[in-house]
Amino acid sequence: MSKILGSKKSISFTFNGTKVEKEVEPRILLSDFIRDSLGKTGTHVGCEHGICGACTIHLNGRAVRSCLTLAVQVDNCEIHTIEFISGKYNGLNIIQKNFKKYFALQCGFCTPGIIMSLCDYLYRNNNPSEQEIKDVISGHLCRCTGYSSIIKAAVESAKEINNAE
Amino acid sequence: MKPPYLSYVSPKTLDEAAFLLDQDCENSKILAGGQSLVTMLNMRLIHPKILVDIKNIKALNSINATDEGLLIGASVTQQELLEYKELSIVSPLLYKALPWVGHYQTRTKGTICGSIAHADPSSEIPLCFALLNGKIKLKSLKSTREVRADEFQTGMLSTACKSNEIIESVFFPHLDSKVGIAFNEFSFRKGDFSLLSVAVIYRENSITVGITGMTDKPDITVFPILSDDKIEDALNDLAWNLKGIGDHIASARYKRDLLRKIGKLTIGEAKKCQKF
Repeated sequence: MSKILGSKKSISFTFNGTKVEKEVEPRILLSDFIRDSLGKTGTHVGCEHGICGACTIHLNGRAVRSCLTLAVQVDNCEIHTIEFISGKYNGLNIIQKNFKKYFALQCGFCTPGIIMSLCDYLYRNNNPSEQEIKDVISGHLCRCTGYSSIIKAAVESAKEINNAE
Repeated sequence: MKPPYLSYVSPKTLDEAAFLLDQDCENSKILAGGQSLVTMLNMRLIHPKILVDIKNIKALNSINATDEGLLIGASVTQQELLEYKELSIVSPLLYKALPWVGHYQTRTKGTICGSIAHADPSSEIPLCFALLNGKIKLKSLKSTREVRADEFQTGMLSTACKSNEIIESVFFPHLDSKVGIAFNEFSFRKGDFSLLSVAVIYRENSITVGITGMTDKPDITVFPILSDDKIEDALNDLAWNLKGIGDHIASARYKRDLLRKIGKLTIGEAKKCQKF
């Protein structure tokens, strides 16, 4: 057990496909670790208590709030952020293309979080209903769009992902 | 909005966790999914010196359906249970209630036992736990004990779990397959803290109604089988008995009105799906 309060711990995990080994203070949030220590600023930090959803990332393939996760908790885990999504699909993926097509973003602050949630949910569930998609998006706050364009883009993406499979 | 200075340990066995907790139990906290705990750390509402993370204890990550009920380990997440293939058969109440718990993005990490341990007065899982009168298994360094739901939650954010005890598992007993079950809640945004949640078990000769949001812990009331207009009167009496706590979001009067309306709706839904 660490004797000194807050003494650093060594963690290793896979970040966007690359192995990362770093020392980190136990109190550092994963969201801050990703932005400050790893320099990947696509993950945004909004409310820091799980309400706004801007910091949503994938932890072992599931959408989670990185502001409600301590960096030390992800030792031996696999993390993916928004930077991975466009890299993986050589450009914009289906959901991102539809966000562009349907004007589902304006300032873009909430967008990475919503894309990460939808990337988990839509690829995991066949034929989700519009209500189910709305329930997933309800975990995010957007202060620009009024949501209807986001829902349109998500519903269209769900259809395209289904047809592609 | 950042956690205070703290130390972190992640033991591999439950015994080791109980030992570590016992070293300085007043200044230690068990960390499971962290969806309530890390929020409270971020807001500096609590200042533990040591977090004991149970994620590496493999024995705690199990869901077992037995003849008597459903046994859920301490690190099972809400989404894992929701995706458990027979949940709609083995526990229709949890199957109906879990989609209301937090958001998709918090259910993927938040645990069933963590929600019961946190004992928020508006939470859905403590309501199901109380309504089914389940049991919770608590482990300390020297002993293991079981506590029934009606003795577990003692008030707002407080339970019978002592500071040197770890929740090992929670047990939800089976219900007769003929009973009618319904769950409803109201919040301004789906997934936010509910203003009022109602869960109903409709039996052959009684209606059990569980309510959160009105008092500092889930309230369970048993009614006899009543006609529709008598149900309205009974719910009105219940609303005045519980009074409700007004806050910056909704007044006590508004909550009493929600109870009358959502209570009636939920009892009606439960009545429709009972098979007596």
